[in-house]
Amino acid sequence: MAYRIAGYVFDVKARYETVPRILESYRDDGIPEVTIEITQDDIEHERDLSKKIDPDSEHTDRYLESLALLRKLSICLLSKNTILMHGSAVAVDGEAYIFTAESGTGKSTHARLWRENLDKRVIMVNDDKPFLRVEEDRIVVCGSPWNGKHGLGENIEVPLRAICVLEQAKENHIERIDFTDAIPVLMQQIYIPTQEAYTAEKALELADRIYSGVDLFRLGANMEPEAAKLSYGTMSGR
Amino acid sequence: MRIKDGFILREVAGKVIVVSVGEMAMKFKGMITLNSTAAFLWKKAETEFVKEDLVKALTDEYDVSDEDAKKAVDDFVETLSKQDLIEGIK
Repeated sequence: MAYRIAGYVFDVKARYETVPRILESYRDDGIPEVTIEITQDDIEHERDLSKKIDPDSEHTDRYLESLALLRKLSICLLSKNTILMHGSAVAVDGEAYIFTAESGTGKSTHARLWRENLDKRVIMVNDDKPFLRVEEDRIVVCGSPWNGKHGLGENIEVPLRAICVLEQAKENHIERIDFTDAIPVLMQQIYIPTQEAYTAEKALELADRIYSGVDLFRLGANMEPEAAKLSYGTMSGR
Repeated sequence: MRIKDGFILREVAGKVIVVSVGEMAMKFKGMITLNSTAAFLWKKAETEFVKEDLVKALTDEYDVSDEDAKKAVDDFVETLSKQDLIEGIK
């Protein structure tokens, strides 16, 4: 038994049944390239990291195990030119758009505005942590089971059309930007594993290939339907 | 003096970005963006140097006066020292 995420076939040796459950829709008949094993040490490491962000946080081992798997899988995937991004990825007409920002800005809310207000079929690729596979002439947004607190996402792959930095605003506005206009957020919302130099190098190489080529926008949005119409209209050019 | 170990420097979409790795990543959080002069100086400062080396490297490479080069190097070293990124400061 194996799983396939972003085209990468792997197996998992997990301690709790939570991991196989969240991976259920990513089962695959292929031959795994690797078996990712999660140990109690990995779980404790995740607990330490969570406590560093919020000292009062209390998480179950089951939940922390799924985070440990995400971390290990993300590192494996770097060798396949694939990087984890924090954002909400939606697809329209076979093209994917990613809204990125710090947690709490309203990425998922804006993605919901797309689903509810566009005269188009809007597919949720992943509402929280999509993978981006960098290919020769395109970038492909891939679903993953880590799809946010509402569990919105599918096991699909869609070519990337644009990345949009989201901000809250009273009046809606959107501009095309350069990488230099939003370096902190764009670099913080991709996962750069810094424990080892070679993984950090690889992540920066992929960041270079993504941010050198893709269309970038900055959107200031409120929660009215018009926000979705403006962002979709501008980014799609339709 | 020299820049401490544990940093990697890479160009991302035309900008030079520095991130800390390994043990340094636990101590120094965050990311540094360098302009082209700073990136040039950073590479020279990864191995043992005194300020005069950097000033000479700058005036050799760029069309810049001794005085301006000296000021750029002073600023560069001071900024890095403040962040505790240099060992063996003289």
